[in-house]
Amino acid sequence: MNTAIEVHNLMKEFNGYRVLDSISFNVYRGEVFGYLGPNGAGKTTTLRILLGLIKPTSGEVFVLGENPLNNSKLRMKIGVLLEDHGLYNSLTVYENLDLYARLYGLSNSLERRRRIIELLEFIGLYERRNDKVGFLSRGMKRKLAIVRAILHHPEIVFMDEPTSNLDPKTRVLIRDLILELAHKENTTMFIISHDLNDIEKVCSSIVILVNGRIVARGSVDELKRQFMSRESSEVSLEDVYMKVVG
Amino acid sequence: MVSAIIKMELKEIIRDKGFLTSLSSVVIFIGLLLFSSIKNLAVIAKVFTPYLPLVIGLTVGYGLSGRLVREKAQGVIESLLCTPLRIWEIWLAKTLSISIISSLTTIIISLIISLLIEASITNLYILYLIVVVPIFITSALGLLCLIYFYLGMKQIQAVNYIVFFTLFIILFMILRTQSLVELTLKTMFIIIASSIIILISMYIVRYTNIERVVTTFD
Repeated sequence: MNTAIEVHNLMKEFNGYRVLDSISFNVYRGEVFGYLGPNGAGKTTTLRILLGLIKPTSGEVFVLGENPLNNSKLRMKIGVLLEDHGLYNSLTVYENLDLYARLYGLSNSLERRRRIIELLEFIGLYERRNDKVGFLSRGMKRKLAIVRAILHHPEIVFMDEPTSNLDPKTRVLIRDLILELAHKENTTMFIISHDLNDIEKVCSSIVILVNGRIVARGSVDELKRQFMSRESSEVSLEDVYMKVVG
Repeated sequence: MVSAIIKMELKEIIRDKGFLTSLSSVVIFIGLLLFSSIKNLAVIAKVFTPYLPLVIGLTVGYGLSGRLVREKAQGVIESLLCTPLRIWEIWLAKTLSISIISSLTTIIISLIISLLIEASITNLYILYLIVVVPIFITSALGLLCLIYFYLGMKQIQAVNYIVFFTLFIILFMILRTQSLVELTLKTMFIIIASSIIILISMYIVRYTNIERVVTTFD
């Protein structure tokens, strides 16, 4: 199996305070990987290290076989959905996507337009394409930020809370999109979420982080068997999470 | 890629309410200044002609640069840092887009004021407006954007006041007197100092650690 993300003995300290400690895991190509943990566990710090935005204090990180730090070429192959949508509020839906499509190297204007329209129709924002982003609801902004993350057919997509602020119908749509990208396009999906129901439905492999250390890892079924005495069909990922996190 | 982002930044700035707010504050300030000195327009013309465009440019640019702080808080800068853009390209695009709008606004307002106070619009003055003023504005805003990149939100508030008022005082001291030779020398000084500031800012941004910027987001 091809490895998309490799993390070996990752450690990060801020002003002497250890945020991540001895973190090691692999994510394989085409896998939907869930990275869970309570607030302050170190999820966002890990994400920023994987995106090459911050440097680990020690340990090694490889994304698609490369060191992500200051690696512009690697960023071409990566899609990112951050916790804050980070969209330009005074630009329209279309202009926001057009800008990012250009930044990600979609230089052909016809191809760019076709891709943007295809995704806007899929996500249900086509009718709002000429509206300023500032006038959209939170959920719509979330949907737009998701579209922005997958615009350039990235090989890996990092998503921080992909289904927050979304209505039930759109949540299902996003879950299906994540599975479709992973299964049909072999896109690796790295998902951070507090929504354990969504994680249980889409992730093939999970890591649970507490106070900067990995406390559990495996598939949903493996975690259920490992941490719960009852039959795996009777317990949910939430039960496992509550037991692990305490 | 930098040109694509500058183009979108310009659109965003023009549509943003912040631009109207800064423009309005400049118009009100200038209006009050002229109204209170209506009997001494000749003095105003003499003392403030070189000084005023720099003040206008700084005021408009200062108002617009606040958007960078907002963008840091809303995740726009972090989203851009996740693209293939390098940090110095983001800084350059932000600085240039704000400087272009501020310089154009300054040139237009300065010419209107000159007409209102019936000051003579010489070729030298036009040259001053289209060369010295934009260089000065770009250097000041480049420095300000650099500070906004590197500092946390609370530190930015404190620095804002210091930078803003210090610049005004220095400007006033430099441009208070006016023989033609002295003004030329001082103008040369502004151009050289501004260019050095731009180069130093570019150097710092180019060789900086992104982590220094990213850790100020939270």
